[in-house]
Amino acid sequence: MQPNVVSLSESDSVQDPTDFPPSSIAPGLRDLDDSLRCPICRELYTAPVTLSCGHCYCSLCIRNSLSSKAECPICRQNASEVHIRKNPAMESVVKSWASGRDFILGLLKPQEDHRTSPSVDSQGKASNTQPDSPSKKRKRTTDDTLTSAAGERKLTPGISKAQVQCPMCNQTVPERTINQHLDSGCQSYLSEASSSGTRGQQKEQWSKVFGNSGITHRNKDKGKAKEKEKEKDGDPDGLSDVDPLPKVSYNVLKDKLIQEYLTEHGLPTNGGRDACIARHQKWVMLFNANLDRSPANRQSLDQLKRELKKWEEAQQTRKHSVTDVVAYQKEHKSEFERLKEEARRRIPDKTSNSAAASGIIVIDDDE
Amino acid sequence: MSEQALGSATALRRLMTEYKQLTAQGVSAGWNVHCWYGLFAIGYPVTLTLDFALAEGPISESDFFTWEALILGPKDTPFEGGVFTAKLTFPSDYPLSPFKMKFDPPLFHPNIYPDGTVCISILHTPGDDPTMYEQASERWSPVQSVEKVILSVISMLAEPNLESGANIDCCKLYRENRAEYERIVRQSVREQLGL
Repeated sequence: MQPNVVSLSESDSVQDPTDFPPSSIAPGLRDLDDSLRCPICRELYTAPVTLSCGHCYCSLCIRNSLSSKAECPICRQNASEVHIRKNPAMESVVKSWASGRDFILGLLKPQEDHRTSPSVDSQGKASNTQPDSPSKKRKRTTDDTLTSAAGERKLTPGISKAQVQCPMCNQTVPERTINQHLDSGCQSYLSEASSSGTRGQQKEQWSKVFGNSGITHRNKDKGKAKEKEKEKDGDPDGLSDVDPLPKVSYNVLKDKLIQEYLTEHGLPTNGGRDACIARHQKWVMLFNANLDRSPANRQSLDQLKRELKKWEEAQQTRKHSVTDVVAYQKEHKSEFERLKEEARRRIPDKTSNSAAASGIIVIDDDE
Repeated sequence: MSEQALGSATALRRLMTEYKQLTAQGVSAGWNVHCWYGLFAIGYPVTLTLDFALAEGPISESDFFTWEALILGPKDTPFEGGVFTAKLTFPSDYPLSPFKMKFDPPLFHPNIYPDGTVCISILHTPGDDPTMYEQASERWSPVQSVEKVILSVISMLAEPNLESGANIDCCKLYRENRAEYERIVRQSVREQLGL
């Protein structure tokens, strides 16, 4: 979504859960934002997928990670690309969240200013839980729902007291209970909604995140089933037409065949065998990750190619810095001399070698 | 250094996010994070002035791939009272590969190489195992973060892992003559502080 190249001036554009106030002020929001982020890239999920252990990542992130180590980065269960399953539900949650995020942040601002007056007591209650440390974060999510059940009833009336008319029975119902009201076949009203407790509230919060799909629910019996149907209609699975690219065992292939694979997708075939293999590998990864998005969010092949090109350029420039060996030697002559001198003085020392290889200047500490 | 500057955009974004989170969380979590360009310190709740001078000036992208961390010696250890500088060097494929951490000046500790490089399992990829004692489960994985590593390092300062020693002399001393080890550490802490 965001442009890939960032300079510091753009660092304000880096979004993270701490954009939201701690849960003593806005219960659950920080945790919500946190849980909609890929644990690898720390950004909102792009094409979220789950492994067989249930952990969720961006498709491209986990494909990259699996290519270096075939395990789930969180629980370390063995995993491979065949275990990757799309998670369209998560994708639509994230999409809604991404579009509503700034709006919610905007809503929070005035609230923070007001917080002296109306919400004082609920805030005071919540603030005896210690502010976040990330290790506690997960555990506290459950606490939050408990305390917020008490705290929220005081808070929410201030925020959304809006009344709406039920499209079915024309009764006036508070906006926040409209979904429950409709789900129950126009039987539940204000009083019932408030007695339905934490569960009802949670459900309603989620339906808010999902958009307003709840409004179309009619039959009380078929409510659940309908919801599922709706999901399907809303974003039909994209499996239909395109299949993911299979993995290729390059070792048994001749150069020509690898090049053919590349031309098949309209990719350049320049560079040596290794370059071609790397290019094709990356392409398969990008292509398959793209398929894990819902069709509406997919990138065009051109966009993918551009991404591949960008990746390759970054790769090349990194290698390029050592291609001009003579100049490099000249430039670093003194350093080489110093290192040689050092190496002679000491017994061959692994650490100084490796440090030199990675381009770090070793600071002499033996003076 | 220029090689590091060309680290992938993903790595850069992830680093910026972590940095932002570290600085922001520092306040809310009651941690003491001391921060100015690419430089931050984590310590146990000891009072330290909060100083957010991030706005002090733009840093080039290359700076984001080397951080400096100030670590306070944990309480009730011989390192107490010390302030240690460590340099974190991030690879361009971070977070797929772990970063490197090096104390400068080096610390006298069983798990720190004489040149200052920290030897801790959380910073090793599952592939390399210099000491053959580490469980795969405690190795680096892309979901680890600077914060978690620093926490591990702080607890390592308090409790050395003698099974995978990096400084053999120090290991030996620690095992055989703990009092002398503590004396040396305390003395070096004092020297570093210029006392």
